[in-house]
Amino acid sequence: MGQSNPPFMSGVPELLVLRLLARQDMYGYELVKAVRIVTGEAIALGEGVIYPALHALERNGALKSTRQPVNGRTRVYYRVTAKGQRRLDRLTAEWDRVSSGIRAALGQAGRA
Amino acid sequence: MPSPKLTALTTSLRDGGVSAAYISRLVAELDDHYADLEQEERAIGREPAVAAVEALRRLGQQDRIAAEVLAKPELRSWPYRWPWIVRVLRPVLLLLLLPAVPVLACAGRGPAIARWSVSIGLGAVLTGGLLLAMAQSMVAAI
Repeated sequence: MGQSNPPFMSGVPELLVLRLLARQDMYGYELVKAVRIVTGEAIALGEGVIYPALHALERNGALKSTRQPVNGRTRVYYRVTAKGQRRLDRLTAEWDRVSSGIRAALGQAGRA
Repeated sequence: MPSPKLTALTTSLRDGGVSAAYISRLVAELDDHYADLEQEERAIGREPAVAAVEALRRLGQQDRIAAEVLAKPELRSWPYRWPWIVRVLRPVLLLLLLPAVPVLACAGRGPAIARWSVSIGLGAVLTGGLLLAMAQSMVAAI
């Protein structure tokens, strides 16, 4: 999904998308912008490729979309479902486990 | 505000077995995203032509977007995901439709045609059932 993110970032964009949509409903453009802001531009999602990711999450029942007319245009807003929330909890726990492991390894390597 | 030309994306997705309904949804959302990007670029003072080029660049390459879609089986159409259903159902449906052809041709001949149709229909259902069983056993063997 990431356009310029390294391969070990696999799964992180999904985690961020679910986390941000759990806070509030957003449409694609808004979501890409939010990811850029909350990560301090450390993570750049490919703007067009976010849609297949959103649609796949929706097909899997993690997201639900609704169309809303805004200023003469129809926006597709996404929100996290109960299933998506469970997936987010699982991914967050996984991320915490992996990142604390990496921090520990880096700390040991630094002392060695 | 011109929309980006997404014909390459549309063609790749259609060739890859993605349904027309999904393609039009994706293109609509990409069009909308492009319009937002173009607006953002113009708001920071870019010339319209430059804003359009920059918006298209930020949206990303069409082959990359197509690859993302095609990498997700859940976004492909069901005949593409389960081709064996089409292979099994097509002959069965054709067999069921077959008895209707002479009935339509001989409309008005009443009870004789009805009896004939019922017997042919039952025969077709039986044959269809056998073909279905054969097809399923072939699929299972694969």
